[in-house]
Amino acid sequence: MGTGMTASCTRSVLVFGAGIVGLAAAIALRRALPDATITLLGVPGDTDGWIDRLGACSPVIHRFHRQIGLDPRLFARRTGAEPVHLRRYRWADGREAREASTPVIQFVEGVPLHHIWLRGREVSGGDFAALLLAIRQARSDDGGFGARYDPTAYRALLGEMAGALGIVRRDASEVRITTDGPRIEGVGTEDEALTADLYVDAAGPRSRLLSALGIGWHDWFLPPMALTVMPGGDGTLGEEVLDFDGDAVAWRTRLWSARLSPSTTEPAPGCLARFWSGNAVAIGEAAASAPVIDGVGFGLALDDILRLVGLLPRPDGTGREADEYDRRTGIAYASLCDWTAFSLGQRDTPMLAETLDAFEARGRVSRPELDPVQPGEWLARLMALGPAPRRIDPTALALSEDIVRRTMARATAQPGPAR
Amino acid sequence: MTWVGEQKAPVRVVILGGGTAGWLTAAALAKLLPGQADIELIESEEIGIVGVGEATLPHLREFIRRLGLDEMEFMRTTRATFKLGIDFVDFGAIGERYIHPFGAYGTDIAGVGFHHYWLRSKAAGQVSPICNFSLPIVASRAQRFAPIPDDADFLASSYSHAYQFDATRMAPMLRRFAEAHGVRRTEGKVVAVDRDGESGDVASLRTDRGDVIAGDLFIDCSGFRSLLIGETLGSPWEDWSQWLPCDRAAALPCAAPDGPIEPYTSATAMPAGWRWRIPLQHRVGNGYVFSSNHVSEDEACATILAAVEGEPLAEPRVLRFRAGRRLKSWDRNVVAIGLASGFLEPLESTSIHLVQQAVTRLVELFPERRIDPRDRDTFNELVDREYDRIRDFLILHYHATRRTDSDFWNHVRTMALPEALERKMALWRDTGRVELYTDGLFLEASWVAVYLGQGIVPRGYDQRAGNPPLARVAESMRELEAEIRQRVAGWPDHAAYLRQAGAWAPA
Repeated sequence: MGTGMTASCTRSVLVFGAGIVGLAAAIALRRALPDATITLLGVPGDTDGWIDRLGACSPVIHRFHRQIGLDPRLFARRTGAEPVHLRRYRWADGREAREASTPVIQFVEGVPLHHIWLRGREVSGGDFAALLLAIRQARSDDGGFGARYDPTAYRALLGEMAGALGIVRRDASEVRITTDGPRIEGVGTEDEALTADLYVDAAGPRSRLLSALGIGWHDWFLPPMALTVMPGGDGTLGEEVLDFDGDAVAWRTRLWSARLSPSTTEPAPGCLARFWSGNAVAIGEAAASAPVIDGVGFGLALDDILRLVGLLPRPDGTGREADEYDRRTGIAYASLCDWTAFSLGQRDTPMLAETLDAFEARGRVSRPELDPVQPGEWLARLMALGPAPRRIDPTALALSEDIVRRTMARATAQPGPAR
Repeated sequence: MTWVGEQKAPVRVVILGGGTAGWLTAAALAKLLPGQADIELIESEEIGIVGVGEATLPHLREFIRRLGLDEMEFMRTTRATFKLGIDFVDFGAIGERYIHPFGAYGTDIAGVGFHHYWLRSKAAGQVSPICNFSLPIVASRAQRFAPIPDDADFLASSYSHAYQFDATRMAPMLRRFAEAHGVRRTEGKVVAVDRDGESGDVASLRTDRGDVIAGDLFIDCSGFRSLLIGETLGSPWEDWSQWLPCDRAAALPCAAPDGPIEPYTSATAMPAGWRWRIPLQHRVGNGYVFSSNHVSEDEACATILAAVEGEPLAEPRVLRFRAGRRLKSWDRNVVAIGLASGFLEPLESTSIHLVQQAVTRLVELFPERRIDPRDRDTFNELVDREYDRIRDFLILHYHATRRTDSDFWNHVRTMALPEALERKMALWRDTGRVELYTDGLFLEASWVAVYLGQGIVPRGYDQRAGNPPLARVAESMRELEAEIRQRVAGWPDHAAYLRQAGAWAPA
């Protein structure tokens, strides 16, 4: 051993909660720590969250599957997964909008594409979504809105994979969490007492493990919503529809339909004050819950898993990884708050107000560094749901008419959202 | 046909100062905002330019491309050579050296950074020095160079390159370009600044020749003097000399020696600072950056005279500066770009990059005749972040040392650090991980290069790097090392490539 190099490894991890996020975390941890014991503990209520009911994930799911070695064809075959490239929004008053998305903001001759569209829109018929759909990236795995699938079939598929990988499975009808100062000492079930080097709480809203350690909860002051999901849907391949009626939203994909409506009984949207404390970390809805109308909720849970695996601490370490994890996760969930509020037509979170202000002033996407919602994704939604920029970028005004015309022609050559 | 977009009168831009910063700004605004900006530049032939920014970073290539300049013509005009990194000598300890390359070491394996596998192998006592796993470092040591091919595989795209050039030849070239794109030049020294009585904004500049030049937006490229942002507006300066105590440079060009031309810049630690060496086509740029609290100007000049290898081409010229930046680089209707905005010593060749970055931001946030304060705030925020992060990275070069041979090195080794840097170093020491950020110039690969190069070996590494059998890791490392050696052996000599590519200026 070199001087002072630490040697300890994580020997055991207990994943608390065996829903989709718990399964995904257990599999990723098994890949990262082939010699450790990974125990997956099913607990009451662990599949009640939105992630286990809404089969929707942002494009990060494809990267996650590559990392854990899940064949995309198997995923598609078993869960009916389909890509979505286009979202149609409709409001009760008859207004409509379309959204297509690329991860990065597109440029032509160094000029942001949306500013060229803003300049040329009056002489060309197509919307901005049509222009983006003309770009291959908006239809690739890394672009668009990710995958829509059957969540029950997906949970079953991950369950089989977890079994095949030798992940120890336990189920408890009641659990007792014991703490030792700032650390989890163990989790007791009716049958046994489980202990581990690291505890990962994936059991849905408001982490029981971190709550046991005294970690508080930030309320985002967004309206709580109830979710109803019905199997069966219709529509065009690659599209989904969102109908806004008052405060309720109907979201229809080809695989299922969901309805979000205001509720007084659902927990209020918000997130933990810290995501990692001592030897316990909360991920997915255990860390933050929000009424999402796209795949970003599960996407951020997968980001949590990837971040956790990338920052796995050694049991005898100083805990600095946890601080870095907390820093990045805090940015991610502040973004989820803004993203959710904006998507539902709320405008009054502080950071969102700044984002909207910058966009309205001159069409700039101004978001914090490490925001997990990509700049191109923000741009797409801002272009679809407004506010409209008041000013066109001077670099776009400086472009020759010929370049503007040729750029706009790409959209008209691509009139519809056809595949 | 009607086009949307209010065809308003162009913004009248007045640039004060015709050094590298002034002409770079003029060229970029003229090229990227035709019809939107009406640009006038005031300079005086009697005022010299600093022009020491001779070593650059890879980002300059993209900038040159965006302006539509021909790379080879640029290289011939400025007598440029290629650059693959910076060779740091005697920083971690006397007798040690490392190259900070434009590129990362090795390649990620199963999503885990190469340096974690290297740390594991090192702990097991069986690994070559990490520099052997970098194509640009191995090429630098062999004085070879090749451009990145279009069909590059991972190894061939594992690096990037910049230029080393004669900065005094850059401004005239950019001037020709800017004037061809409609920039007007006024000869004269500014003797008075008129301000709007109501708003306090700068309204016009008066020259010693009696010209009065009015504008909407003024760009202060007047260098250390900072006539507009400093003298006129009194915009406060944040001083960083407690962390970066060097405040002088003694610059001295010398004749190019016979023999190969290094495709890298050298930075050699000295008892009271460090010394640069930048090989160009026709000469070598040298300079001693020092702390006047630790060595006198005369002594520093004598030191640099003794240190240069070729025949000196001038007397040593002493430049005085302070490390720091304006609290607001854009104040009222004045934007400071270049030395008027801030100064960081050229340890990582950042001077021209900071100019380029500020110009790019200004184009992105280019105002209307009436300035939106939000654009100004955003510009300042972006510029501040860039400066602050480079500052921390530079401080690391001084602080990460075991040198105890002089007061200067004892000071920087033991000084209190900015909190953000303290946190970054603690994370590295404990875990071998680099604090993640995506904005800013120096990202993970650069931090890893300097940490390891200056002897900060972390106590831990990513435990996933412990998964594959050690023998297999060792074998892939041996293969990578051999592959890099073999690639570089097929590259041309740097000086020969300069001629072959058409970058060489006939004498």
